[in-house]
Amino acid sequence: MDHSHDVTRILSAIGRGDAASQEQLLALVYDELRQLARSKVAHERPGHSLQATALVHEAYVRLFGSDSPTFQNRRHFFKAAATAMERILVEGARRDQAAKRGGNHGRVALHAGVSAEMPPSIDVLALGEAIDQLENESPRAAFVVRLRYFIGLSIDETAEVLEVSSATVRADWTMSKAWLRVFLERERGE
Amino acid sequence: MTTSRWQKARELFLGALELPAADRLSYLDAGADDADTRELVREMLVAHDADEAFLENPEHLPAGDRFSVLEPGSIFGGYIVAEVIGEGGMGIVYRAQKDGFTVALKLIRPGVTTPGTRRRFELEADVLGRLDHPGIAHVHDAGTADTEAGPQPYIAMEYIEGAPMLEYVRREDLNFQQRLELIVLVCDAVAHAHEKGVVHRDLKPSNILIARDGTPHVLDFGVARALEGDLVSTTLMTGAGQLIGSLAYMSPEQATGNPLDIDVRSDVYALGVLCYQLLVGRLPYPSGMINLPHAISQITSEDPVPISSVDPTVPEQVDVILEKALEKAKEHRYADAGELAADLRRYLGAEPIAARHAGSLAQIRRFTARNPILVATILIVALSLVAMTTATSWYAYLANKQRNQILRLADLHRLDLCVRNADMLWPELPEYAKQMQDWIDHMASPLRERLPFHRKNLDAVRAQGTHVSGDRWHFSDVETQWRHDQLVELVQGLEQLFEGGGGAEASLFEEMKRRHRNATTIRSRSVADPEVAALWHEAATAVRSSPIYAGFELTPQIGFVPLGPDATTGLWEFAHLRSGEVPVRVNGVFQLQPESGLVFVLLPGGKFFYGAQATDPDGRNYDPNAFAREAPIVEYSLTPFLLSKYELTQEIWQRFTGSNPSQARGELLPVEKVSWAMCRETLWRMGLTLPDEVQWEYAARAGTDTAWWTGANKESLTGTVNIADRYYRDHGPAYRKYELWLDDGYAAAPAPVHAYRPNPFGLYSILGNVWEWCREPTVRLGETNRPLLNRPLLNRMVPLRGGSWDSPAVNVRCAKQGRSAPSDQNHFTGVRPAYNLMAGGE
Repeated sequence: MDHSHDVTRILSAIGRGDAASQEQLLALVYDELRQLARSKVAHERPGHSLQATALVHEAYVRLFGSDSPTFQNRRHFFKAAATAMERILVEGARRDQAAKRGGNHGRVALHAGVSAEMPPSIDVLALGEAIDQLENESPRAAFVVRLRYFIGLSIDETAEVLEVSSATVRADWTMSKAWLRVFLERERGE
Repeated sequence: MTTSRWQKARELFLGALELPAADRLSYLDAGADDADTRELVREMLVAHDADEAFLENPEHLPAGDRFSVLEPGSIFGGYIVAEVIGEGGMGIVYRAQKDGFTVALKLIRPGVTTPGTRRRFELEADVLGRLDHPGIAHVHDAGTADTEAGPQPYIAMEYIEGAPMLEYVRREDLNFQQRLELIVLVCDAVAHAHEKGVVHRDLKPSNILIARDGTPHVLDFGVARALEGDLVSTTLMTGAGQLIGSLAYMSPEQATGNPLDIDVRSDVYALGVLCYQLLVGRLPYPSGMINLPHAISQITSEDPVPISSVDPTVPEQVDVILEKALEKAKEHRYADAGELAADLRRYLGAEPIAARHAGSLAQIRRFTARNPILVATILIVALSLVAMTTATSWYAYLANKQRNQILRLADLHRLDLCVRNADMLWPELPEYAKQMQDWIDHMASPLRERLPFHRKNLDAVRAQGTHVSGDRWHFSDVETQWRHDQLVELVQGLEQLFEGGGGAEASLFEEMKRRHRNATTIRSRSVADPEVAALWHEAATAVRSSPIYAGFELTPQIGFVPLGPDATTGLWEFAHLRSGEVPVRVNGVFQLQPESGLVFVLLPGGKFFYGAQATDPDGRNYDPNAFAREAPIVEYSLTPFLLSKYELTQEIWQRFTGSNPSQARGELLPVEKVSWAMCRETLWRMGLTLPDEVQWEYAARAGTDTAWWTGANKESLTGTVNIADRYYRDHGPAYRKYELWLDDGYAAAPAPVHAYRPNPFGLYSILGNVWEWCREPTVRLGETNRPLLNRPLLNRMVPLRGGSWDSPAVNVRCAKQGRSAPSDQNHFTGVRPAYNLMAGGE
């Protein structure tokens, strides 16, 4: 299917500062990633962990059509992709939790296809909430965490997407990790 | 407002981190405006110190992506890293220095280790330190170092300058006797370890380096042991292909995966395989190592092909020795590497050897080996099926209906093997001719002989049913229906194999005969024939005395023929014989035809500045459009290499693969919609490779330092590129940039590969037309001044260069780095083949 027309329209709207369009782009990216992840899970061998980064790239090519190597608009795209990947992981974790409550232990939980292996040892639900809180404190710091953690960008790549220096990203990252840990520990303590 | 609170906390936190732990609290007291912020930052400092790995290793991302490459000059566990000398699924090997001596420092990928592995590592290091033999690369140090990314297991061993065994033997063209002597030396080294009770477990040609003085050095003793038990993760990390690489030398007890069963006799088996391969150039198994289950079944249940039936000149004693080394049951093998060495020495000294043929099975094998007509039959049927005792009962066997059924199923399996093996029999070089001949004689021909038999069977079965339509028949009982359908599949498969698809395409069988013919004649056609030998001599003389090549010693390269220098550039050009007809120059310009083969330009070696920067207008390679990742500017030194003058055409792709995936079709258009993986495979078939990114940029710049080889202004591109020009506006997506000032003559599609003016190296459309897949730069020996490049933008992405008909001018800059997934097939991406000259030549 070809979304490139939609994407074009949405991107130019984002360029004009239209907040609703950002939501639309996110929805598109999210759908695309989920579909991709599902089709991958169906075809891959069990135990094979999918590569979030490859998924994100493939979604990019599918959404933006041809001239992918230029990475036009990749800033908007990566932001949307990081958020989408977070949602997918959080949903997967939520489904697992529901399955456990339902006593459905025998079923193999697929985190919407992102990891077909063991459930992550980190509590993705709590982490998602913590990042939401972090976003209130500093939207940029929250994005640094999403780009780094959810789609695995390096410090330099994150800097390129956010158009800030690598030093800033590194500082944000160090700061955010410590902040998130404190936040998660305080939450757990209460 | 919260933002300012965040800012304040951030300042305090980062400031405190700069200080020694003892001074931090007083710093907070002085700097914090309120108790809440002070407490928050204090807790954050504690959290920071407690767990630096927090969030650093996302579990939904593959582990391999997090394994960063050490930069030259960085320090790891006291070692100073110099360069990467090898990379594999298990890890990366660096040349490194400590206390003045050089070591090979092997870092195991964190993803393939577990806490258990690390403990084993430390235990093994202790044992390995005790091995002391000139033929064993000495392990100086092994253990686990704590790094930012967590514990990192490593091994530091003696750095050996040498060539991998098979390469050495080929290069030095050792004769039979010399090869055997080399193996004996390897056995001696392994025997030393066996005396100390150490088993290697992963002996293979790539683990044995031969130093310049001809002495072998066995690497990686005990590494397999340390990693044992992580076989599953190893498989995941390395992929089946690499595992099969090791598997080929694994003993049956190893292949079936019982680690308790492994002892020194497992190494004896591996040495047997190694010796076999060294002597006759192939593995001792009847068919290749196709996939994991197949390889395991070959190792565990199929008897090795007697070496004397592969090469009748191999003396019977050697045949017997190898038979004993390769026994399935380890009790029947030599007791250790020392015994094997002793028997080989006895043979070399013309003394009677200790080994004897095993028994009746061995007798049958011997019989089959000496009776060529029966070879195929016995090899394929008797050894892979159940017991067959004598050759005379063979005909009775055939008459048996149940046997027919087995034969049919077995032939289906063999057909499958045959087709898949054919995929691996590339490129068409003399060293593969023997395997191609084997495929024709021992794999395919026996199947062809049985085709009439299977057809007759099919007719017989059909007599019991009713015809529905085409190949569909109806039978009253399920079993006959199944037998019929199997036979149809078999007969159709065999017809396809031997008679082709009915179209103009040659059948795979004919195709293999052609490949074999090419492989056996390519040497004389390209380098040995007096006429071509004279051309090479002329080329070498001209190159040596040419100021462009600065005294470079060109040696004949098998598969290529010199075409003389280009009139404009003075660079020597070469025809690649296998890809098509040799094109002819008229007035200095090649007249390309659809049937033309590739033309390669011998690019001179030299230094150049790689990358571009937008920050310093007076600095090197300044380009206001440069991306941050294209900096810094790095000086590289390259040795001469061959690069195709044109992008690979659809016609050539079709000739090698039998298909054309391109979206735009037409004469001499570049092939597109080919993935990186497809290109790598196809170029391998052609005996070629992808250029690495540094080679590509060097070629594109052709001595220039501006954004485009045509100059610093995009208007200078006129007449040299096919990009997103003004006609593109009517075809391309609306949001895309295009160049209104340019009319390149082609709209939203590629142009023929020779449509525009070439660059100063004589390379056509190196910018624009289609993106060209590249390899990531590899560090090569002798190029020590080459630091590692930035990691790619996205993990697991591969490079592509030069932009396309779909790109604005800014994306066809020489330094522009594109990245895409290796499986992407886009209608704007093709390939320009390269060839790295063989040292010492042919």
